[in-house]
Amino acid sequence: MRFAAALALLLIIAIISLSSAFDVSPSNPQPGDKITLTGIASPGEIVNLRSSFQMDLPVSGGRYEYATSVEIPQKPNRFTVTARNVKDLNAGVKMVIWITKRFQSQGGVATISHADVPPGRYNLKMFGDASDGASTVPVKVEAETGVKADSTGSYSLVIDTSGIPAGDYSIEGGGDSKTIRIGSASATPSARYSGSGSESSGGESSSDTSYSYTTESPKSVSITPEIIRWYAAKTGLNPDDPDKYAEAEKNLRNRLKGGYWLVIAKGSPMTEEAGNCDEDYCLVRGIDACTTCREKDTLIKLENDSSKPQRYLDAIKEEIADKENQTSLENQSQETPAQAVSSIQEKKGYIDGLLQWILQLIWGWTK
Amino acid sequence: MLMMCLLPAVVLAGDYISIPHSSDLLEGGWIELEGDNMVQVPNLSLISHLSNLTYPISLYPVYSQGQAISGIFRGPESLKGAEVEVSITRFNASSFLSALGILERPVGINERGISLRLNDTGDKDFILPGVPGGFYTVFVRDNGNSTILSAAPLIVTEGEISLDLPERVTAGGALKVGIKSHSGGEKNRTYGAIMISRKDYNLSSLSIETNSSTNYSANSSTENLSFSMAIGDRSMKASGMPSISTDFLMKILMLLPGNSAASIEESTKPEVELYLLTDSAWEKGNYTLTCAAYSGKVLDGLKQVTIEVV
Repeated sequence: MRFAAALALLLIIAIISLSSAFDVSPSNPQPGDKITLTGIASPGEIVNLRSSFQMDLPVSGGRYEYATSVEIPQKPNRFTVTARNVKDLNAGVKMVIWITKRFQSQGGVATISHADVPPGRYNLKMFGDASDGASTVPVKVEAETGVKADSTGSYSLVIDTSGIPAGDYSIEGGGDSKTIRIGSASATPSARYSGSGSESSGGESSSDTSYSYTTESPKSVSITPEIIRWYAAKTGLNPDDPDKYAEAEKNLRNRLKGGYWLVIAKGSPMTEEAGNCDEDYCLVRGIDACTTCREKDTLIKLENDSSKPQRYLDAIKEEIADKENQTSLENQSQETPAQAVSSIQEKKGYIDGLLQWILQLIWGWTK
Repeated sequence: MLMMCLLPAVVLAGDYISIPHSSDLLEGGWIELEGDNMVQVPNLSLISHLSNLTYPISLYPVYSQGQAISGIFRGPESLKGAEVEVSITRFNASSFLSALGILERPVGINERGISLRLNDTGDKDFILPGVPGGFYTVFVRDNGNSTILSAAPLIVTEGEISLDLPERVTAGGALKVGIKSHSGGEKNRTYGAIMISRKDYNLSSLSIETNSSTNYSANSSTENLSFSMAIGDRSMKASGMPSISTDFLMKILMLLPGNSAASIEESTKPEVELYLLTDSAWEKGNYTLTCAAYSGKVLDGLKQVTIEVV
């Protein structure tokens, strides 16, 4: 009898162990890497997996903002954003057009939560007024989805970390919990763009001239009175006025909190631009900024730089557009006609589903 | 008069039949409403087997509850000196389309209005007393001949809204729009704003078309209609007159160009701030911004302005 009870207990423990453990690979991903979760459960079991991360958004002039591009996993899913120390939370989603909805906070907390968001990549913007006196706005983002184990009990889920800032990322599922670190302070991003074009020279065009840039980790400078005066002038404050000087210092320190923004000195390579900082100092987005945000900064800068050929600008615009529109031209070119039709039908269904969700988000309508 | 003799005797007392219209604003038999709060509407085409009309009026006034309604009836010169009656009834799509000859059915009107004598050019201005918030149709009829001379839709809001916003916004930035409702104090409202480039908005169009040629019959209805809408190079088509539904709004959303934005907030407060997001790649120029506040089944207010994207 005792032997049977012990055997049963061991069996129970074994089953719990089998259905609760999951592995995460890679163990130290960089922002933008794909994380793969794999585990074992009962055949056909739906394993609920919840991932979350938190970030502290700096408050500047009483306002906070954050822009990113995120990948929403398969259905069923639930996506929740909670912002604290806020008076309101404006959430903008872009698919076709920007649609923004405003949420008032209660007790300084604003929460948006929606289930069964059509999977896909979304451009998101969050912004609003912080609570009086707040210097940071903690934001927690949670995503939840269900994964079905196959006939052997195996399940896997791929999470795209694009848009997730460097930091701790918590994953829970099946009774297990793991925290992984995304990115590290010493990471050096590799070259993100290279293009080729030609420059006319003496009326003849030459080929094989490549325009490429590499990005390095920006080296932020310490805040000195000289930098505060520079920032004051940049933001329209008189640095000779002690009150305005103090206001500029406070604004600058708030803006630089969290690492989203950095100040670099003249000659330093800029995070998102082809070339170096050509002013005394430059305010640039750090590695925690979204990829699309940095690339758009590149485009704005290059549009103002007449030395760069139009072909180079067009190439960057095209790359940004491709990433934003999530086109699958490469995949479509390899599809058979039947697959192409199916792809178009799936895309149409996806768009219909997305629009329906957007309308539900806005108007709370159900079909 | 000859036309009246040829028609079957199916017109009942209180029923009116329409007269032919043309797309000419001055001679086509149209009602031009006047007001301070004007809204540009999409180009409207009305098509039947008998006529192909382009609604000649693109700017429409929005009235508030109780506000006197003023306008001009522009009839053909052949109507000079005629005695007509101008009245307001609750909006009915079938009656409106029938009055303009798109649907071939009599229009039943029982409401009394004001009597006018048309001048030498067949025109006459008028002022009607204000009405409660809602959607209406203004009719001009000739009681002597039992004919409907014209019809015009009328939007009456429960109150007014005022807007607080800059004249321009930088592409890539957020446009902050303050909307204040001047009716009713605190109550559940939905505030909305939508921004479309002026160029695309000017190219937007609505088309209402009857599907088949039917004899003059009381059975003609809006079910025989097709409705289409286009913005730029995108269009949608539906059978019958669409009702406001999720499906309909989804189709509208699909028509909007990429350089458009919308924002919404539900609040019990009479004043809110909405943000419309733009992208740095947006085309610079003028954009049409339409804002509204809605509570229950009535519009609290509707306003349209121009904003410049720089």
